[in-house]
Amino acid sequence: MKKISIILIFFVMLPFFIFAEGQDEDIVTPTAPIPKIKAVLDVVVKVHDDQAAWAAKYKKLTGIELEILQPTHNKYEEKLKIMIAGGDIPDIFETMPTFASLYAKEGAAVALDGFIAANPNLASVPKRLLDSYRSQDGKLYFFPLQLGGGCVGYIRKDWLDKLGLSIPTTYDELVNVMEAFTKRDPDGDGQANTYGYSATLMGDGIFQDMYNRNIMLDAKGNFFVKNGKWVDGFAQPEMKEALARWQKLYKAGIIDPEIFTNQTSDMREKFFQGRTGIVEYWVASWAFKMQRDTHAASGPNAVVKPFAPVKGAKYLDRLARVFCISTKTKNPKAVFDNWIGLMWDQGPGQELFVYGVEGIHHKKLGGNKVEFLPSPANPKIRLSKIYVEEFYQINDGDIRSKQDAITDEATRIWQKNSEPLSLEAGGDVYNRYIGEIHNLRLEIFSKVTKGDMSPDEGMREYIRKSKNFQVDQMIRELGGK
Amino acid sequence: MLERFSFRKEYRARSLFIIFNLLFLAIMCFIVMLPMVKVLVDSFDEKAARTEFRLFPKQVSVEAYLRILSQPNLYQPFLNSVFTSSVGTILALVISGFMAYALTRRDLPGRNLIMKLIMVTMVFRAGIIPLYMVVKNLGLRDSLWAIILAHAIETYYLILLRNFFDTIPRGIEESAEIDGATPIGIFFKIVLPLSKPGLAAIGLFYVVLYWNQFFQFIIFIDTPEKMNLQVRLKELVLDSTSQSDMGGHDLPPESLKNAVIILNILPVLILYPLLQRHFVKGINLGAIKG
Repeated sequence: MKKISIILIFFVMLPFFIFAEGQDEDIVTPTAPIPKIKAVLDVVVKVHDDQAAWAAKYKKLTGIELEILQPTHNKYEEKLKIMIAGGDIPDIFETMPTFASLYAKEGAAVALDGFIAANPNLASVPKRLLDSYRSQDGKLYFFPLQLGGGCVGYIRKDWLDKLGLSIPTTYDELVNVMEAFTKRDPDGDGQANTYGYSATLMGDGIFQDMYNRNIMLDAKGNFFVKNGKWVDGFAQPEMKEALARWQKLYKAGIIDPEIFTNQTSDMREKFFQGRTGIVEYWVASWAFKMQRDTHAASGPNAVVKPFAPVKGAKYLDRLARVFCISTKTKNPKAVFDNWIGLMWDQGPGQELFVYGVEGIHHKKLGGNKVEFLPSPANPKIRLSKIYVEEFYQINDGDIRSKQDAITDEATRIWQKNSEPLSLEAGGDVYNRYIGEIHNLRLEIFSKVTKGDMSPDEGMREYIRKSKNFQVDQMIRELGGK
Repeated sequence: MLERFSFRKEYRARSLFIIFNLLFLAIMCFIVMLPMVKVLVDSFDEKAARTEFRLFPKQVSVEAYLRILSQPNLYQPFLNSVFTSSVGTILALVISGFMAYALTRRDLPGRNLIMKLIMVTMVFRAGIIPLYMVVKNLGLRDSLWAIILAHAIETYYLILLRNFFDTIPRGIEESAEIDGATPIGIFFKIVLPLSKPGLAAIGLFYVVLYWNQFFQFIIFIDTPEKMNLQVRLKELVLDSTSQSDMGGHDLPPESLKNAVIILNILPVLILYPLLQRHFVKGINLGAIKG
């Protein structure tokens, strides 16, 4: 998948090579009225939730007609790449930071530093936040949609209470809880049909670090910055300890045996249905959904509680999706000011991007409070976000919605206990071999966890085989060499 | 010729061989059918799980099917699928039929060259990006015709059909020519009626091809109302908000996913037995000429 993406990116760049007109990145073009912005967006409010009203409100605020193309979510990046490769280049598009850095490297994205400096709405954006998106040449070619976001642990508090246990604060306590959730019939149906913990380790063909921090503790399976230097997380000593923990838990039968094939939706549904008592999942609007959907599937007595990471673990703060302004855009500054500038105006623009259209997506409660309305597509479900997640705003917006206690609690736990991830943007060798490296990590993880090899053997095999993929050069490229 | 089945000494070896063959084929059939059985059983099982295999559902339920079929927003995608599959198949058969017949005519100038050029497209495919550019430049983006026309001629099926036409004795056509029939008259009055098995087989291939379209809908179609059933079902069942959209979380995702698979293949499963007689004959006849 990753390999295909990278090959596609090469073709994506062809139109830019062929039709390149050159651009002086430091020149800030004056804002001029533009009649229309063509945007390719992924997580914006859906068509069936009255996207048209959202675009109409945007036009009312800016005078600019908005042409939104929203490809289906699970094939979004492929369609975007094919569109651009086919010469169908939007003014602004949303993408993953890894892909954005490839677009930037090939000259497909405008440098935004000048526009950011000139826009008063962005004066309060923390420098540290923007620096984490900065490319190796020191420039910013893409701007985050919001703060990154992350996951926290969710636990069935009603199960804990029934079994006389408390929320685990150490790894050993966590293992005890998992064991009790698996063996002491926490749901009281008389059947051994529950597991202590479910996770996904291999979702989307890559090694996932996000959904298993309480078992991985200080280990990470991917490349990350350790003491200021890029390292291969899977080759670090702490990974060996993590593999030993997974192996032990799997052998004891107290974790979901489907961790190798679970997608995130699978582990989430298992939690909703009371087939597992602990998962790690997203905060913000997802916290509310975790509670709502567990109630729907397991009954109103199910109590979902977010919890702080056990001692030695930290949750992760990932990089957010980003906006790129295409070098084919005639007036990039106008696009920037009327999109990114408007998003963070702490006024009607920000309200539109966070809460949508009044009367359709939210209603005012008085003061600076709003409440999301039921989804126009499905009135049984209340909306919980429109585009930017309320809790992930990069400045202090004036407005706050009436949130549920769990959303607030989960997000606060995450904010207090998370560490940021860095932009993983390598060069040619990285792009060539990253898919193989992920496959190798998944293979070794499975073999060790299932007991086919010891953690020591697994580590040795990984280090030996990863050399074939020039892992040292990949690390050098991540460090900008 | 019917073999005598008996355990008398002179027939014993033969009979044992038949029993062994039957057992072996039954086991092979069972192995091949296992994944299908799992999908079918899990679609009716409220306790379905990916890592568990059962020959019968633990808790029989048709809830997953009811849940999917009660989605009104699937009606339009279903109609889109029916439209592209039926119009696409008819169009493909017409175009492929004309071309395949022309290629059987010995007096077609440059026949061999045309055939070689066609063969080249089987080996070297341009890929999705050039196709996207063609579709865009023809103004077919966001049109169902982009899907229909992109597959209106599939080289492999064209060659299969040409081989089938080649099996029709030349003498019949020559007799018709002597009687004053034009080439087009021969095609409609003689070749087509004699080619029903071949057309049925190729038609079924095209139906399956159009029915299973997924990626090209994603790439060429922008408007959600124009998406086909495959895309919508994938979105409904596998995407992040799917369970909420489907009305709740009380069904295991495995049950829903498997019901989706069954509903997806159902039209072809229904169509296949109706065409099976022609299908087998068509394939066999098309395969003997090169």
